[in-house]
Amino acid sequence: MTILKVAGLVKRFGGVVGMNGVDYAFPQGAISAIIGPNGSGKTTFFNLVSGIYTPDEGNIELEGKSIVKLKPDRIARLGIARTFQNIRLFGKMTVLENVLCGMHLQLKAGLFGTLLHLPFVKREEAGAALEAYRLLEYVGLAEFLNEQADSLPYGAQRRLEIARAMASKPKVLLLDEPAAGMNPRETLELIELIKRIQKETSLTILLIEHDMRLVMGLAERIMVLDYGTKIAEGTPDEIRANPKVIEAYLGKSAVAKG
Amino acid sequence: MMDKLITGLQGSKYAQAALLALFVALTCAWVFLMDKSVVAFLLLLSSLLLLHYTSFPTKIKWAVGGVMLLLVVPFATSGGASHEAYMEVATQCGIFIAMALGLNVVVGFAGLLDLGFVAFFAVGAYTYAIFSTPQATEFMSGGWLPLTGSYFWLFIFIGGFIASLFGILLGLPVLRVKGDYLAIVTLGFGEITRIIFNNLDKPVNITNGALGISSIQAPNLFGYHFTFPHQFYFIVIAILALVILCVKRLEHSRLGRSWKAIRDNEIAAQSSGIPLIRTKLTAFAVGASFSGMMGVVFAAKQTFVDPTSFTYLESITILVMVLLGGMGSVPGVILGACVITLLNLQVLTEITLWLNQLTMQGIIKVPHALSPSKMQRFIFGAVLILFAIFRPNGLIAARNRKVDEGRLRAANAPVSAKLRDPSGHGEGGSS
Repeated sequence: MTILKVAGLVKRFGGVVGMNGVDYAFPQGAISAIIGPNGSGKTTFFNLVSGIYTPDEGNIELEGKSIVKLKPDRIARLGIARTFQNIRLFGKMTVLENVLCGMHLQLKAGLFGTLLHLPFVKREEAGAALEAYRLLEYVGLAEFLNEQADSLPYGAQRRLEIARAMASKPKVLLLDEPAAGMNPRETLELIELIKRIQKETSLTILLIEHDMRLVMGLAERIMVLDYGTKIAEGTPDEIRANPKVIEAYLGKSAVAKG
Repeated sequence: MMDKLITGLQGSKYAQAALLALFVALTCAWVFLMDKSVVAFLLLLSSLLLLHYTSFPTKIKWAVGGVMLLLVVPFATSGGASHEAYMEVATQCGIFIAMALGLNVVVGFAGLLDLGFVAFFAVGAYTYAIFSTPQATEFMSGGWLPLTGSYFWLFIFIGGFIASLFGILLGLPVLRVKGDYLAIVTLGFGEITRIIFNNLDKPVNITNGALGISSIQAPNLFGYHFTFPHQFYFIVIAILALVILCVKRLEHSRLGRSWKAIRDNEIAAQSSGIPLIRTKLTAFAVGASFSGMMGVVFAAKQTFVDPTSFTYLESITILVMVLLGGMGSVPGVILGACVITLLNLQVLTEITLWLNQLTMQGIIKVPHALSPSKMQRFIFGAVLILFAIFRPNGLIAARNRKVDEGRLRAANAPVSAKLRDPSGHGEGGSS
């Protein structure tokens, strides 16, 4: 079953076409990867899906309903959460507060409830702190809960972004290069974490990644982008054998030799 | 030796209490016996800072602070002829603290640089001024005008409400721009507000223009009139307590976190489901309401308002208080507001007087143009530069709230056990 579908997606930046008519349907509950050379439009794709960019043409549907032209916070409310390639944590807040911010949509307290210190607000805050703590435990950051987020090591910051994204209980989780800058051991741990998340929550995960070991180890389906166009899609094995993909990554001569 | 003393002091609450009590008693006696001693008064107020650094539970600190402000300070200053002068300074301090706390919500929490913040103060002040004088009858008819001083208490909240409404109206167009542009636009709107108040005497006379509105009704509580600074002092303390309570509650709430999230990273905040415009508008509205409430008090205290009280320099003064104290830090901003107000009202004028005396005696010759009270802007500028270089986080830097990990872990353990246990009935919310 399809949870997220894009059709004829076009995005132009002045004269540059960032996304040129991409169609794709992401199956529910699976890990799909988006790969492609630098500048092929992978992050643009995520920005379009999460509402940071508005497409010039085409449609994006979440569970059959169009989410085009909605603001990012509306899209988050509908169940799409994401992490960022260039880490975007709330740097001056604590690790726990970062996750609590991610839980924004789960909480109800408003201005007047907070000012009047209503009992439900107190209960909600206590419950939220506990749940945030559990999420931190889940991604292995529980010991850092009171640290300032921008003081964490790089790998931990990436995991915190995942925890924050999961805190909104999304239906679709977009991970933009989660392993970038990680050492091999951290990457392995990350693969385990993503596998675990997918198994235990049956979340739909979309993944942008350059680390082929990670992509091939995790993804059930792969979409390959080049210059804003989809050049291939399929299972990891199909993608590995696809001459177009090899050409995009390594150039024409590599295909001729191969 | 010194280190030993300090560690010993940190360890013993009794020693801290004794030292604090001694300090308060000494400064009290000094203020009480000496008439108009600025140094003594400053030292008395700084005992509140000492209180902040003691290691007592927060509740006790608040209680002691309350007693200090409600009993000790009014009593200590009542010894001589300058009682009202001291109380005037303290009242001004309170007014500026509330405004600085309001601006801190906007600048410190939400990260929106507002250079026209005094506009909300003006709105509050004019709201009360217009309705408590015959001015209102210029453009409205009704036998109920002008209102008497007993409406003052209601107007504290009306002033706050109108100011927050004004904050939202101003925010709607202004919050479309970010960063430096926001600063410029708010600066413009702050000036526009002042000029509107200045020119709104025709075609319909609403604000009485540059002449201002005079003979504003004194607050009246069951026949008791508030006219002197030592009376306004208590009103200001009460409002200030309310403002601090609000700020403390908001700071670590869902809303407070949203503000800080937007400050730290707008895109990530939005992707976490935080609506940008609405959250920023709330920050504007909350900050403005504090300012509006104090505007009402200001109007009643001065019994006169005119547009010259709400210039750009006032906005900058409040901003300097926030920057000096520490953006986002509630105790810091309170300290910053006190320091700047006392600097303006007491220290600079005292130094000026002293220099004048020396000049009169012919000991030194200070040209009139160099008198310290005229160097306010220079001193603000110097303070800002020095703080940006040496203490960018302010006098008391903002600190994140630490959560007790042991408590969370303990609360977590039974829940995890239940999740694993198939016979468990839901989640146990033991906390």
